[in-house]
Amino acid sequence: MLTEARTQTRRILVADDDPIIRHLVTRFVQLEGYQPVVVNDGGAAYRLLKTDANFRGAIFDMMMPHLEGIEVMRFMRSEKRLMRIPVMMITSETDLKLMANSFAAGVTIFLPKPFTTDQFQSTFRLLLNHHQEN
Amino acid sequence: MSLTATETPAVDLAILAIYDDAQIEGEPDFVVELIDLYLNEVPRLFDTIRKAVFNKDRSTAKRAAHSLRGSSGNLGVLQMATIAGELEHLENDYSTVAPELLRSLENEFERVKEILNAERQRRSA
Repeated sequence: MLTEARTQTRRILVADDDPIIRHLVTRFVQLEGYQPVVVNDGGAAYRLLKTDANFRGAIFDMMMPHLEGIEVMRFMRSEKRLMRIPVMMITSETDLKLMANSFAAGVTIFLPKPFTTDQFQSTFRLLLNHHQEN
Repeated sequence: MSLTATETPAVDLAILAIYDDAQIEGEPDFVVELIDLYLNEVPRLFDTIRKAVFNKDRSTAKRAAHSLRGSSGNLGVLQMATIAGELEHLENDYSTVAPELLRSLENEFERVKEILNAERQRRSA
């Protein structure tokens, strides 16, 4: 029942402290026909996720104040009601070890900064395809 | 190979123009919105970096430089993205080099503001 509701929702959780990246991601998500639910940092994402699991996917910046994207994602992977929500991590990090550890921790897909409209679009579609397969 | 001021344009307007794809008919110019956000955000980040460098709070300075690098890169503000990256990853001679990099960023931003304001005006005309 919960899974069915989740596959039907168009809500995408977006958490990024950078207003420019947030504005870009919000618009791109809208253009893909989804409903962005936008918060300004990891702490706000964590607080929202404690009471709201109705998301088709989540997009986090890797480096945010209060709670890093990876920490929010680890919380999601530890909670049964959140663990199947696919997570896109936006990052300008190029450290392969960090990325490998992030995948191991449960990140579904990375979007490197800077990114274009097309790059966002293809990564976003892969994120949601992953969701449908699981 | 590191990029230098002579090799990198202050603003690559072609990168900015990519976001015309994201324009929704009837909505305000999306690129102008991005320019306005950027012009408002950069002084705030400079302020954070300045205070953090003064207080020897490297972690806060690094975070703000990281944010500046990300948003500058995404908007095609390439030289600032490069300098912000240098500040973000600075390890040696921090107390000497960090203020110099901040000054470079502030000088570069004067150039960037002119270009972005001109682009803003062109789009608003």
